Amino acid sequence: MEASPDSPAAGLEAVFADMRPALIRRASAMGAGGDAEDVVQDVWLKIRNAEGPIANPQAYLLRMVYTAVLDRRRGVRRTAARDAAWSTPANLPEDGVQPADAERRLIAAQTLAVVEARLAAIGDPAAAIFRRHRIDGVTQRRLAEEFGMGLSTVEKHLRKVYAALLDLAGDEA
Amino acid sequence: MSATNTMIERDALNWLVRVNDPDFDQWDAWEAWLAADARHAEVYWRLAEAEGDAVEAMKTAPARTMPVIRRGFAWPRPAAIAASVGVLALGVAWIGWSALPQTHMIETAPGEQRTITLADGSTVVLDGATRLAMDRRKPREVTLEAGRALFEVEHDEAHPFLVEVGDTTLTDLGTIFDVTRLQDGARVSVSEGSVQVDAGAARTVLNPGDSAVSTPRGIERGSIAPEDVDGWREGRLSWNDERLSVVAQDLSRALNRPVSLAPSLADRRFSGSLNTTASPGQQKARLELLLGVSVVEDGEGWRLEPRPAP
Repeated sequence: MEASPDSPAAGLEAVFADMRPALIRRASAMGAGGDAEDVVQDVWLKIRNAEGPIANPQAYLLRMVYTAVLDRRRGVRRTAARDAAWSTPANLPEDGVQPADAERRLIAAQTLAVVEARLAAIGDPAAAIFRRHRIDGVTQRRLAEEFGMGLSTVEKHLRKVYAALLDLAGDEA
Repeated sequence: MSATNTMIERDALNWLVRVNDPDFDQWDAWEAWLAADARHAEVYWRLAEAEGDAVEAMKTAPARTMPVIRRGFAWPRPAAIAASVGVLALGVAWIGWSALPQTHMIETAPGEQRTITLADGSTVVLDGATRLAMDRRKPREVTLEAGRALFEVEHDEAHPFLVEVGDTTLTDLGTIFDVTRLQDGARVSVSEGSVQVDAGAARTVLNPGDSAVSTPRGIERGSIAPEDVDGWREGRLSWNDERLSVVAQDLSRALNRPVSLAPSLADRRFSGSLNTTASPGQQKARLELLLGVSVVEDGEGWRLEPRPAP
């Protein structure tokens, strides 16, 4: 191991080595299928750059695996969507911008406009709770204290925002 | 969607809300639910991916802004860190503001033209018999419910300007463009910059000199001289290989009288331009000459019919 024994990454790496088979099994169960080993390898690369003490390495690693599975799925879907959208030469911009970059920027900007509009329509406190939770990474328990409401109320607000963002009310339902 | 699928969606949403909590530790229970039915994993990941996209897009925003209150208002940094404080401080203003009506409509009479300036500095020139719906909560989104309008949009990378026209969504990429609501869709012509056109699964990007007609059958691309895009403001209509069914809709608005079309002419194409400021008598003669049709009086309107063979 390159990391010195007392660095935070070293402890995490030891836990990782112990948990590796379990993590692969988890990744597979989450839906990574044949990519499970690759997913866990992604996690390995990431934790070697981890900073600061990790309070609960097991929970941290499971979260990392989950995020890696999700990112992989999103990447695959984006590539497929891009291939479909840019298959006709007539659609290519001519200003020298790489279509993939241009499209990614556009999709992000466009998604942002829709997300902001929907958050604005829902209003606070639900929108503010969602931002604190998903952008600032504050736990639901902390948010319950911050906003002076019960945990289940925080969850209720979050469910409302998710449903609006994901179009569940109108969407085929 | 069946009741079962709706239920799966609801369960998936509940799981997603819980899994996204950094404190979440019920991985076994969640995995068991995923494995219980193939549809569980499918729906769960569909929602999780979409939510991930939304959060990632929010993280690309340069600063946390509150476009809903007024233009240019940004959360002060400390408030972004302690948003709860900001929410309390804004609470009173929020209640007062939210009591105001949020949507409003701008409508022009037939033959009237009007230029409006939006809160962000963008301008819209409305042609006659045009209806534009706006929402104070969404200053960068408008809906063209009827008629025709020319948009000159202040570009903002983080907050694209959206125009909804029926089932078609236009996203500006910094631009001047003309939009017409058609009976069965929308037409867009770009004079400067570029516009993305989305209609259902179809998508295309228009650059200066490009136009497109979006209908339930798809998006059909065309072209137009950029300087002709806003000719209608001076009473000059130009078409390039346009279907007569679309030309007739333009004429109805510009001439201020219903112009209908014999069905056999609907798909005939026309290229050329017409000055719409002449007297009705002159108009009629010009149309007959230009379009190669007969113009028949039809109540208050005109009906374009195939010219009888000589």
